[in-house]
Amino acid sequence: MSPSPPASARTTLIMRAAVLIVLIFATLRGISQQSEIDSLELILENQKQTDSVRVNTLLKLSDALVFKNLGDAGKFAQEAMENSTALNWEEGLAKSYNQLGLIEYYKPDYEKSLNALHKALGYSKGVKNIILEASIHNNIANIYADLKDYDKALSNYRSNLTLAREAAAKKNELIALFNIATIKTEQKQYLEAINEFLICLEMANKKPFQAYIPTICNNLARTYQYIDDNKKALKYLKLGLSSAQENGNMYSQSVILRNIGELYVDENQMDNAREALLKSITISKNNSSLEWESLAWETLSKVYENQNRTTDALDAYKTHITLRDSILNEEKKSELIKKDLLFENEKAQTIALAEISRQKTLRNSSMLGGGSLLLATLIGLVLYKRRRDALSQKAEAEFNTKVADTELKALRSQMNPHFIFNSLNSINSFIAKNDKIAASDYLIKFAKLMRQTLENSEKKEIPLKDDLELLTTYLEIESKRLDKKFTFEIKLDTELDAENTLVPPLILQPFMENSIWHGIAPKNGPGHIVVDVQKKGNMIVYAIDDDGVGRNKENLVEKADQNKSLGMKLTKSRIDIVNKRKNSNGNVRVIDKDEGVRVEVELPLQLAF
Amino acid sequence: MIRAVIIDDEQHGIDWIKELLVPFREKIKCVGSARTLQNALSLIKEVSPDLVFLDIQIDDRTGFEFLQMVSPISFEVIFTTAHEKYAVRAFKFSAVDYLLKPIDADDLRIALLKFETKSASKHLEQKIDVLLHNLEARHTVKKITVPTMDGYEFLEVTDIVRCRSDVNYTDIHLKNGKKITVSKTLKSFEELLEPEHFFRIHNSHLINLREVKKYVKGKGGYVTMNDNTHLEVSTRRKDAFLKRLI
Repeated sequence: MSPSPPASARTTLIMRAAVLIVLIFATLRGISQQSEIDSLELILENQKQTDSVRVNTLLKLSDALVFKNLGDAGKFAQEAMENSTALNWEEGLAKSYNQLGLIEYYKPDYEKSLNALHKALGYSKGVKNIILEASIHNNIANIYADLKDYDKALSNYRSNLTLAREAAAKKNELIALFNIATIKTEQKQYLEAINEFLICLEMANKKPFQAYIPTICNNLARTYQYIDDNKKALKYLKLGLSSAQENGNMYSQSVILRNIGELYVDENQMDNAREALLKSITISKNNSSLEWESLAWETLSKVYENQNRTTDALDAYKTHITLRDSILNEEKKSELIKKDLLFENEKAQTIALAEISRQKTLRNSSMLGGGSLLLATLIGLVLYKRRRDALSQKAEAEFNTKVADTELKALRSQMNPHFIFNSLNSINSFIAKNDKIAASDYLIKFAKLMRQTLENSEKKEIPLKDDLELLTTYLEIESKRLDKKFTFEIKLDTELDAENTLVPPLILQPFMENSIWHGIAPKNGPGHIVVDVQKKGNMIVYAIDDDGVGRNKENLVEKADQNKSLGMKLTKSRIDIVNKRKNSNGNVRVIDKDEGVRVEVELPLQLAF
Repeated sequence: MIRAVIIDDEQHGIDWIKELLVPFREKIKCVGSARTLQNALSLIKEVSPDLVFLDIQIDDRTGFEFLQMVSPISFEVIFTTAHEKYAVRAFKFSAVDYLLKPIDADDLRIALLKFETKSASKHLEQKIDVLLHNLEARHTVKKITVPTMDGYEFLEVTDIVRCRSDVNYTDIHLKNGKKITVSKTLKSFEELLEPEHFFRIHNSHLINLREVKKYVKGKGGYVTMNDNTHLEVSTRRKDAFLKRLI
């Protein structure tokens, strides 16, 4: 069976540039159906003899499995390589190494992939097989594209195209055209790229090229997205997805689903986005495709953020980062191997030069050249690695802080209006009662509270002393509002240094509000509120005790409950975020007593100095 | 009897202070009020008051302009303002009194008490000078007025090397080696001086970042100042300190 160069999809892995485009890899075999895999396995069973037929079968099987089970695909390719070595069959070795290169690429392990592909190229030189050589060139070009060396990549693709047309190999021609279009997208020549993709799609509509459709659709869609034509983009993504589902191409499904998810985020259709992304993640997991799983998580975190599911968002983002880090490591290696190859190349030249110069005069100078070249390369690598590490760490840390900060700010700013309108209502009631002195008194206290609140709510943390002052003003106001229906006291643990202890501002206010308005206000007779601030190990514990009517008798009014839960919810979210940032386990407990309610808020103790 | 004048461009502002002064009628008497700078100037000449309640915003002019027009200033001033952040900072710098609107009766009582116990207004001109200087020179060298045992000291902020807390007192160490003890907390100085290249490295130390000679790494590490003192940096403040320093 003559090697027919067919298709498979794979990603460019350049995460920083967020290149979400896929290049096509040339393998040596057609895309297979499950039935084909079964029959191949059967043939293999009956073909124990080590010969070229078995090697070809092994390679066919490996290729058929690439998108279904990468591990098994690798095993079969390895066996093919070993058999070819035993047979000393160069063509088999070239094909086997090409296949191994592809498998490593999908994992992705650039280092091993490049090694294998170079070996394949070496063996293919000895074999007169234009298409095989062209395919390997194509695969190497893909790596150049990954490394953003577009000019080299493009020239490789073009020679591949020429070779393919020469040999009238339609598939190779399609692949070359497709990859050229992809590179053009990278180089921002969008309209040209779209034209070429559409030509590819037309070619792929004929049997047996349908397997390319998902990949072509994906890249075409991406290019449309670059020119802001989301409608067309979605159309092609959906077309690609259904084609991938028909072929059972898991990899393309996860890629396309993730890109559909992103498109929906762009269009602000969060529920659709979430659905697509979750599917993508499931498929990626089964197919152990790290990079697309990572990207899907990243987009999913945006979706959650948009839906105000902050905890889920943070979790999704963490998963994304973890996955990304393991991919980045791979990327670093590929950069290294590229430099190593260049170095090997130059070293060979240097040695040749040395030979000549030795015959002429001295050889020392060239050795020096080699040494300094080595040194320069090493320094370059070290610097590159350092910068890369520092940048990615910094970016991650900054992002996490930003997320948490933004969330906290949002929560704090939601607290104020709640506060303000309640107080304005009270002032209004004094005016309605025509109580001039009380209204004036109240208004002045309210202005003070507003001032303190504005100053403090800007801050992440304030000294406990300021917070308790603020709380006192608040309680004084509420006590005035309720015509001194309740008294209060604030107790402070002598072990706590109120000026040196930092707390998130106004964390207790919603609980006070509950105690006053749902506990004491409905009560017959006066009430009393005790706030007790204690130090317990490395935690600070606030306890708010009221002797109001408690929670059980109060569930008559739905509305009141809704109001109540807003403040509580905000506080809980704030504590959750504090926990995330400080890696602590602060919490809120609401305890029903015989008379009234006790709320305990536990926060990590934080000192200013 | 203290003779007071109220300057405010809004009548209800004047009325409110008058009303608040009613309980103090034994000690203080309002001898006039003005709603424009022009009227205020002639009123001052006419009645030579002991105390002026001065609004910051008077139509499109300011109370500061008014003070520049009066010479010599022979009265104490209590500024009244609603929410002018930068002005409030300038007041604190200059140890000039102010009341925030709407004015709280308690706050007024405290301000009047302060006024009564103040030594004769011989430092007044200087205090106002510092105030006006700071208001004009928002980005250049600022001055600070600090109350001492026997009056006021007027310091250039850049002359301060460091402040050290001693319970409710603060020792201010100057470039020339002098030490001034003030009965104010270190925290109040921290609030005042933080935006002027000062940083609190420790519970008891506020330092001028421009006067840092050396930082030695450690758990928190320590700094050596230009006056060769070694000060410990609190572990919790280390990161923020290095961020400010670099």
